[in-house]
Amino acid sequence: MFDTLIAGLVHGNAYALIAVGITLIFGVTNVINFAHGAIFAFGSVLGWWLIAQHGAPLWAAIIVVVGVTALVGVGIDVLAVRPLRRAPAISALLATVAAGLIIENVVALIFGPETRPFPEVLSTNNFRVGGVRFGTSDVVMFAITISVMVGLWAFLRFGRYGLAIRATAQDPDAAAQMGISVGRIQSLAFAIASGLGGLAGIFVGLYNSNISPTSGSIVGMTGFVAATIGGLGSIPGAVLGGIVLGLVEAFGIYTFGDGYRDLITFGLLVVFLVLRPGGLLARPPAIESEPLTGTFLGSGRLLRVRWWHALIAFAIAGLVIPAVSNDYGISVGTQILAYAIIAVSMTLVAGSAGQLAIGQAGPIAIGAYTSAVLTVSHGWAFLPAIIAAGIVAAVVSSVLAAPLWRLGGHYVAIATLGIGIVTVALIRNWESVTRGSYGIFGIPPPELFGFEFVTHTQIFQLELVVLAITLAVILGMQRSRLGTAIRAIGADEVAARSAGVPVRDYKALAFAIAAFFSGIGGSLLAHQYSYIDPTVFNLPMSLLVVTILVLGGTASPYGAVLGAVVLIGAPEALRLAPELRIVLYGLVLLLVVRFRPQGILVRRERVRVTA
Amino acid sequence: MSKQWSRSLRVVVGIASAAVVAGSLSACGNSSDSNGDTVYFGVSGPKSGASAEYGRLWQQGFDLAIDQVNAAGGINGKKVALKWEDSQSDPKQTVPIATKFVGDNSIIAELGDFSSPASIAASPVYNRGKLVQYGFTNSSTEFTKGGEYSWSPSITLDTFQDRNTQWVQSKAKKVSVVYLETDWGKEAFKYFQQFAQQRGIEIAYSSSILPDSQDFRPVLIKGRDANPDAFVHLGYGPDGALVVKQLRDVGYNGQFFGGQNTPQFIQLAGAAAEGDIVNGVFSPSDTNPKVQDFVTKFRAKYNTDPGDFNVYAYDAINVLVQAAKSGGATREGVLKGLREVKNFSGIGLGDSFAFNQQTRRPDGVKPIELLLKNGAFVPTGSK
Repeated sequence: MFDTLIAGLVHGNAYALIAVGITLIFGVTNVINFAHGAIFAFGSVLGWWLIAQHGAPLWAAIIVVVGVTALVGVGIDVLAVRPLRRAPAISALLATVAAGLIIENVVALIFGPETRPFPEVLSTNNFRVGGVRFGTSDVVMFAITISVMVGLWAFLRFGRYGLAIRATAQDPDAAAQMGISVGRIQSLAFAIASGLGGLAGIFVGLYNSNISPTSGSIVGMTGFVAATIGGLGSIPGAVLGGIVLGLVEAFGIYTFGDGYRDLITFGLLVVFLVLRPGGLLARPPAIESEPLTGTFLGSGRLLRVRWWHALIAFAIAGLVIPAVSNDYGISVGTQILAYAIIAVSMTLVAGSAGQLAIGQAGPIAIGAYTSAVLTVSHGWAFLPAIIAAGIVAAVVSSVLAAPLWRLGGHYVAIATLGIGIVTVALIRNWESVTRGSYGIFGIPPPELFGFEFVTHTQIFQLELVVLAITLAVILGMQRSRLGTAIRAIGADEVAARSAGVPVRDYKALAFAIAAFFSGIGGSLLAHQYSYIDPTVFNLPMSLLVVTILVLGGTASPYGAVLGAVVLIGAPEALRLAPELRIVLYGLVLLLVVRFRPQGILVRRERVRVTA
Repeated sequence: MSKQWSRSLRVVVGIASAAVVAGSLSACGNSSDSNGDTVYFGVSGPKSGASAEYGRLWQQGFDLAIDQVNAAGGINGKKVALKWEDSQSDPKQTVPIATKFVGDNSIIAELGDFSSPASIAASPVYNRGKLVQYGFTNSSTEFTKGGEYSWSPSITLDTFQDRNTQWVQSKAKKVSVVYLETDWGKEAFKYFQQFAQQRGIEIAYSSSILPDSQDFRPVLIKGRDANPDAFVHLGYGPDGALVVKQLRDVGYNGQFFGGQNTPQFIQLAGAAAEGDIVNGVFSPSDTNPKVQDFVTKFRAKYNTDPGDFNVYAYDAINVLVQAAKSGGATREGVLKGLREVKNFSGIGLGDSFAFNQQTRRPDGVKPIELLLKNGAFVPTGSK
């Protein structure tokens, strides 16, 4: 028991260092920095390179790593985050996703993709308490966490720049009026946070004894959970959150096994968001404004697409593409359409209701699994199975999300992310029905009234029809009274509530409708792949859906279709350069978000609306 | 009015052209080599993502084999080359890649993918397209059931775990087990349990471990507290190295079974893994002259010892080339060769083997017991 406590404390300490960086950037810029994990991994690889390859002493490696990662952090701010200060906050989030992809893959290209042993510069198991050993490295890391926390606190409390950081965090516009250079302060926050991320990279590398350029994403997510548990924006909260998470994970894994780790981590996140959304130390609601809402609509006007435009486009897609394209092009097309169906329905939530959900892999997985289990294990036909997939996805997702609707903007988005991961973890652990990690093989191709859709062209045309139905339903809803009510919530939630619109119910309804179509999309994906397992429905899938939405213009269903074409087409088109594929994809994403933050099919207002 | 009109027009043109671009994305990337001097093997494998390391190991084995094949005159005078597609070993990406390969007439057989689910997802495409899918690392018993075009030389998991429990039995009566939470790890553990029961080995504690976990101490503490005679890990190299190092950190110094026969595992695990026992198909210290010749050439080219995954890739090229030499350098020729040739040879697969036509896997190939001694895996000689 005592061993587990020590193990949890040591690991929690590592989370704390990472969470401090995430929470600092969030506090100052209101952006969840998804590149933080990549910076951490870069720090650990660079530390390895300096120490193992060039024989640098530890202190020199620490100085260089902290310096270089701080610079990279400033680079992220200047190139990806700052240009989007006036754009919807979600654009900046996506820009950090792109920056993270670029950093991770460039590091893998330069230093090689393999896992490597981190040199044992400090002893890692020279002390012994009870049965567990720990080392000088752990003590040093703990001391660093404490000094970082105290130092940061003192800096923020007494320092001139600390004061500026706090002022910017509180109200950037007011800070700017007081003569604070908000841009420089943001860069300072990124520099400090990223330097700490690099530092964490060295010590976690030392602690885990192995490092790899791809270790960042899981660490970044866990650090983010720790920051949220502690209270986003609170530095002591981040440290406390890290340690609490480390302990809960250690005891949870000790009791249930490591197969439940993500369920424990993200389950804790969801429980916290529901019961104590402000986190351990921040007072709920810690964030007064709801930066992920409303701003979408202010930033532009939708380009109008008339029904006959769509008809022409569909006719071309249905008849011309199969005629001119080869089989491979069509198989990419089937992927594009399945994602388009999902993204189109999400415009109702993200665009109209102004509520971003970033865990859509959850409903997609529920739909895919419902349909696969019903057809494979219970011999259902395709048509009833796909309808059941939509209904089950809508019902289950609504039940899971029910406690969220009383929360504000950012928190709902974060919570949906947690619920998405928890859903997939539950599917994986419910092995008797879902076959868990084994996956489900031999899912039959779609079949309607005795006709089997076997070739890619047939599936493409089937999906085109489903997409047309989805578009018709969603557009019809947007134009109905229901759509007006939902749009009112997105435009101004307080005003809508004052006017008697039951905000929560409509948000839940919009979410349920989106989950229904996501389930349908998931079912189509399952029947098209013929094989699914829980790893298919991962975080990148959720982020892909969000990216498609933002790219198209969150409220524009046609834009969502176009977004799917670009974002799924791009990585396939970039197969011409296999080594650089993911890096180029990150660059394309970054550039698109940078220059069309309001979406492809949305026209910028001539008079700039400053949020 | 005219302004409104031109705007609408632009939207229509925009959507239409985007749709056309999407549809014909690949048309350019699919120019098949028509001069006929070179035949291609398509490789669907990880070049980026979490399994990129294995793609790198494959590449080394492939390149060495192809150099030798082409130096010796290729396949009946035709040069051999590869067309790589990065799949990240992701079942979502292997299907479009399979479609691309099937549509490219210069490709006469496909190699890969790395993980069984990634391969199995693509199997229907290869079988419909009548292109041999040679999943040379796919040890899942399910893989070759995909159809008559799905072949694998890989030893299946049941054979692996049958042998594994045989080694365990000689050292331990009671074990703690950790296994990867993937289809591969779970199937391996299922067979391990089955054979452990037959051999009277008690499993005192078991837990799965997630492939992206970094800190296994809570699980290892509990496994250690069950007082096992030995600790068994069923997984890959990088996670095996973490497990054995952290096992020593929590103070367990008993026998360890696990990790992987790759130089990377030995390097990552360091001294902690000394005395480790694994199943392998190959050891660089094997005295067989054919093996020594391979090891010498590999060292000369890459300045490192070859491991199992280099050998798998090297053998895969040679088997397909042998098949094509016999049946003809065409898709049907490769299939014919796999069916008819009775004396395939390889570094890890023995000097002469044929494929069982029912299972489309070789019969009778067994892994050997390897002991990690002074930083190198050496055969113990157990039969």
